[in-house]
Amino acid sequence: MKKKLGRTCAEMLGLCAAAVVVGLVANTLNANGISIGKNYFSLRVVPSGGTSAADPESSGRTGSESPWPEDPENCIRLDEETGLQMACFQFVADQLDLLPYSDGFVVFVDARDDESYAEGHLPGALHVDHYKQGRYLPDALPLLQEAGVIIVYCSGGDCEDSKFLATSLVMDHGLPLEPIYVYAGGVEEWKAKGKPLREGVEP
Amino acid sequence: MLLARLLLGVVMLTYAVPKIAEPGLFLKEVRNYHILPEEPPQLVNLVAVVLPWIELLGSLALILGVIRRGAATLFTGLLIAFTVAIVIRTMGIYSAGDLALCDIKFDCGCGKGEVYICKKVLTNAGLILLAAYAMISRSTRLTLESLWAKRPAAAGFPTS
Repeated sequence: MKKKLGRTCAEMLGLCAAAVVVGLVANTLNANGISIGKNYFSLRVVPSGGTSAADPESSGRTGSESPWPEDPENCIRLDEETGLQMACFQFVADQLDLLPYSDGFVVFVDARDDESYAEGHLPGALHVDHYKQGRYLPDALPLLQEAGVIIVYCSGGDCEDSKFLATSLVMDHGLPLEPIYVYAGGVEEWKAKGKPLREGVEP
Repeated sequence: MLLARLLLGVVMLTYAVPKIAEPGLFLKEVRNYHILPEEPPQLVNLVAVVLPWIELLGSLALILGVIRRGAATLFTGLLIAFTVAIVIRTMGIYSAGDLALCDIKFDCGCGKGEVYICKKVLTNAGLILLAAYAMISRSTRLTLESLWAKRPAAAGFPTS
C-alpha cells in the first residue's frame, strides 16, 4: 500500500516536473507565448520623474469622482485609481470624425484578441493584443510615438485590457501619458450608439 | 476502466490544446478568479503556462496507459479544485446580480469559451467520477505498462 502510494506520488511529481520543463520551452517557442516576468495586470501609472499621474497637481488636471462633466466637448476625466485619462463616447466619436486616421495624429488602438478584432473594430484602429505585445508592438510603436492622441479601447463592460495596455504603453514602452486616453465604453457602447465597425484587418 | 481512461484522456486533451495555443487568453481567465496573487507576476504567469501542459501530458498518459494512476490522481485533485473555484466564482456573481443560478455563464478557463456554469459543474462532476474510477482501477487492459510487462524474456529484455 505504502509502495503504491509512493509510486503514485512519484508519478504525479514526474508529470508536473515534465509539464514545467515542456511548458516553459513551448512558451518560449510559441509566437503567442507570454512573458513570465511581466505583470499584465498593472494599473498604476507613474510617468518618468517619479510623480504619480494620479496626483492632480502634477498632472495639471482636476481629479474628479463624478461622472462626465456637463460639457460634452471636454468629456475627459482622470481615473484616480489608475492615473489614466478616461474618454467618453463623444470625445472618441469626434476624434474619429474630425481627424483623418491617415494623418497619423490620432491613433486608435484595439487591445482585444485576434478573433474579436477581426469580427469588428473601430475603423482604422491598430490591433495590439495586450497579451501578444511582442507580436504587434514592433510595428505599432513607431506610429504611437508620433501620435498626438492615442485612444485605447477593448470590449467595454468588465473588460480591463484597454487600461492594462495603456498602463503598459507608459510604464514598459516609455510613451508619455498625456496623449493616451482609454475609451472605457469600448466596442459594446460603440455598437449600441449605432456607430460602424470594420471587419477583418487593416491594410 | 478502459473506457473511463480513454474518455477522460480525450476530454482533458480537448481542454488543454486551445489553452496551449493561446496562453494569453488563459492567463486572463486564471486572473479572473482572483485566487493567485498578481505580484510578483511570475506565479500567475507560470500557472497559465504550465497548467495546460499538465493537462496535455496527463491526457496522453491516460490514453497511452502509462503512469496512469498518477495521471488519474492528479486529474481527480485538479478537477475538484477547478470545480470548487468555479462554484465560488459563480456564487459571487449570483449574490451580486439578478441572474438565476443556471443563467450564469462565463469563460471558466476550460478551453471552451463561455459556458453555462450549471452544465459545467455537472460535466466536471462526471469527469471527477471518471478520474476517481481510473485512479482506483487495477485494470491494465491496452496500456503501454502492460505491453512493457509482457515483453519477451527471450529477446533479452530484463524481466525485473
